[in-house]
Amino acid sequence: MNNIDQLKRGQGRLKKAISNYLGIVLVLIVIMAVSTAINPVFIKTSNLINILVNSCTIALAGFGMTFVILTGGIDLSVGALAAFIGVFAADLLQNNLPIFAVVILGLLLGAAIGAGIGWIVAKTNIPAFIVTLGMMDIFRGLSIAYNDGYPVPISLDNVFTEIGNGKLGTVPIPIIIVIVVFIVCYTLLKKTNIGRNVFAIGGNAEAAKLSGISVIKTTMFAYGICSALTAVAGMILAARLYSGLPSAAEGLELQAIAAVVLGGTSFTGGDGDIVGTVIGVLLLQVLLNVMVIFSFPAFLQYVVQGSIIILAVLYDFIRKKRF
Amino acid sequence: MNEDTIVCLNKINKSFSTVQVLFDVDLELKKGEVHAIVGENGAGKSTLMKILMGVYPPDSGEIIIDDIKMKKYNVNVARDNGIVIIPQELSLVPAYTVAENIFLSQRGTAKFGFVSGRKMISQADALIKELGYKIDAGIRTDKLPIAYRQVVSIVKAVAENAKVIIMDEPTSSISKDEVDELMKIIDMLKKRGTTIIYISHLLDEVFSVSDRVTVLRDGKLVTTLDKKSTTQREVISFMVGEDLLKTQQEVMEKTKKESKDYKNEEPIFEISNLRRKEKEEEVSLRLHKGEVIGITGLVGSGKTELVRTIIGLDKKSGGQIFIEGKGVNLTSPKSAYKKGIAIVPEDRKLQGLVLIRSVIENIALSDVYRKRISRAGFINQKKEKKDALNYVNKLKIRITSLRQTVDNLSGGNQQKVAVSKALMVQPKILILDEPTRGIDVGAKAMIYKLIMELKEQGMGILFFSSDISEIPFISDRVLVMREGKIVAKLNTEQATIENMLNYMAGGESV
Repeated sequence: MNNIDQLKRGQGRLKKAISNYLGIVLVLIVIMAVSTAINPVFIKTSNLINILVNSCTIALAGFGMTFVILTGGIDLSVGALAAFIGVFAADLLQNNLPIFAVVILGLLLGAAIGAGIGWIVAKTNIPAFIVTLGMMDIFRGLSIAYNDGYPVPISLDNVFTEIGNGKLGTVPIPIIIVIVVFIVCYTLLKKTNIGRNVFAIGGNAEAAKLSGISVIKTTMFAYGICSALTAVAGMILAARLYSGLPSAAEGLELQAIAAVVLGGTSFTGGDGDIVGTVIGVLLLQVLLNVMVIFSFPAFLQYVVQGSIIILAVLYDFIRKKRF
Repeated sequence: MNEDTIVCLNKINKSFSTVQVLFDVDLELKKGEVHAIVGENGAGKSTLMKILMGVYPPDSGEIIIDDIKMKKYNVNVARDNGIVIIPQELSLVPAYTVAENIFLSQRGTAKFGFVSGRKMISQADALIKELGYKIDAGIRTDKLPIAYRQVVSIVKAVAENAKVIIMDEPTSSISKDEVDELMKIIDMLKKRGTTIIYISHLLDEVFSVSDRVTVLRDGKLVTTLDKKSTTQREVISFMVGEDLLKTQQEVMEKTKKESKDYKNEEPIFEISNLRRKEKEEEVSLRLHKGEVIGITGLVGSGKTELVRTIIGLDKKSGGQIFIEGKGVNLTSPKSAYKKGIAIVPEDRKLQGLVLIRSVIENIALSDVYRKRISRAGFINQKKEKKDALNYVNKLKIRITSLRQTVDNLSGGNQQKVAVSKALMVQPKILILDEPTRGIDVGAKAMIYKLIMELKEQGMGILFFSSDISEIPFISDRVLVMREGKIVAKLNTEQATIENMLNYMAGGESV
């Protein structure tokens, strides 16, 4: 038995990776090829970089959402929270707080809010769906109330705006942030104890509890990460818009959810990973970009997005039944 | 083919990925017989049944029903041919009426797509009456006790014109009286000419109900025996060889020989005057190093509640728990694990394992173990793998890879994973809650032997079980619970089956 395991391990992982992502990667390639054929603008470097930069907010929220969905939960407050943190950060900047402090405070506030949401979800057993739906309204309301509905401007020469618009060499800073966050999230899920707990409570909360895992702490951690990353997304967005916009990031939660489920993370929790989310984000952003290039009416984006979520979850159910 | 043969499976082979689970199985079912199928978990019983149900297609071999060789075989074809299963977990819709459930797959009374409720109820009532039952077909199914729901399942099978009814562990969730009821139904079905495939781990039951017994082992059909010309002992030896019988005897002799008087020893674990709620009964017990205390009682005796309170799942309102003489406050399973208590819960699928995760992740599921091998939150995955493989080999867990998910393992192997998980934390006190329920004799023997070994290492074990045949030989002392309190403390000599039953039911010592 010992030997069997040694032999099979390496191959098994590769096989699993291929079978997990092959379908969605193929879809991505086909869409890109067809789009290029119809309109070569699509494949231009500037457009591709545009796609990557635009996908940063979804990617960050999507990484966080991966943790939450792995626990079997969901976070609908993501878009509103991103707007709120954006307004909050812009206000701090207006009060001349150093950039470093603003970023840290934004992150901490996000993490604290997430931990709070997680605590409510785990402690009260109110469905995450309801808790975060409420939170969505609360934060959207708060970000509008913050400055009587007006955006909070950030001066054009403030270094903070580099977070969204700057480049390190030739690479846009948001992309660098996403790569760093990806590595952190990947490591957290694959290598650490708390990451293992996230999978365990999503797979079977009762068994996890009876194995000495604190379901409350783990849930707080997952939502905390999600909201902290959402805060980062909110700050990048504010930097790119040169203001904290109360109406920013509308629908970000659905985009994040769509990316996560497209990436193969099971909606019922306990199964999935962060690499899938990256591919999901790219696919989603490419679709959105293609729709812009082919000048689809903007509202159709929502139709497409909504359909993607339903189809991706359906696919997840079908795949599970088969195995 | 004989005249009274109804179903014939010829040379059935089946593999999952690379593992072959059935080898050239030939099974012949006669009209109106009760045909028991026995075998260890993993012997291929459920796979064979799923092939007969049309859930899995066989890799090779043929299925012949009523002399007709089936070409395209699937769930619908099986159902059309009258092959129906009464599953282990009953699959009725709780919010439907009894009648609606009975006609769930038929809707025979539909007119223009509407279902005539009244007509359906009267038809169902007639059918229930014909079978000799008194159940109101108009009431909601979830208002019925479990045993009656089973009756509904059976009526449903009859309504579907079942020729062959597969009963998978039909008595696992019902009481003694209800078992008697079930036996009556089976008799009646037999008289109607229905064939019954009876799958059970309880050989007593198998022998009282069946006409023929088929033994499966490791995916092969060992033999089909006429009940009248065989004995339980013979069947067991066909199933696993003589091993389990010997193990039981060995364990019993050893326990008797080594059982000692702990009176003057410091207990490793002590519960004193534990109360769940104000005015409820108090529970006290002392567990010593290397001692196994068996705790038994009927459903509702307070066993489950005692376990929950000990591991901190439920709050206690009074009393104290001591570990090695020190008072501890256990507020959650996490705190219990930290203090050296590990548990193998009653229901391995719902409480013991994360079915969709891998073998290695389940063996290393407990937080305390992973923290121990982690540095700065990072798991030492080499060490984790080594430890997991160690238990896989020690408990002979049958897997193809540590990365395989546990939901594909047989019940016995799943239980071994759950036990490994508890042992990985190297507990001082181990709580085993119904550790042998629904697992095969081979896995049982393994667990008995393991308990002996753990005793020698000085672990204190609380063995909760409602299987009164295993309690006496595994335990140094037996506590019988009833209505939330301990009604009897018995030593190995006093712990006879009659004596225990008597206390469990509320009588005094015989």
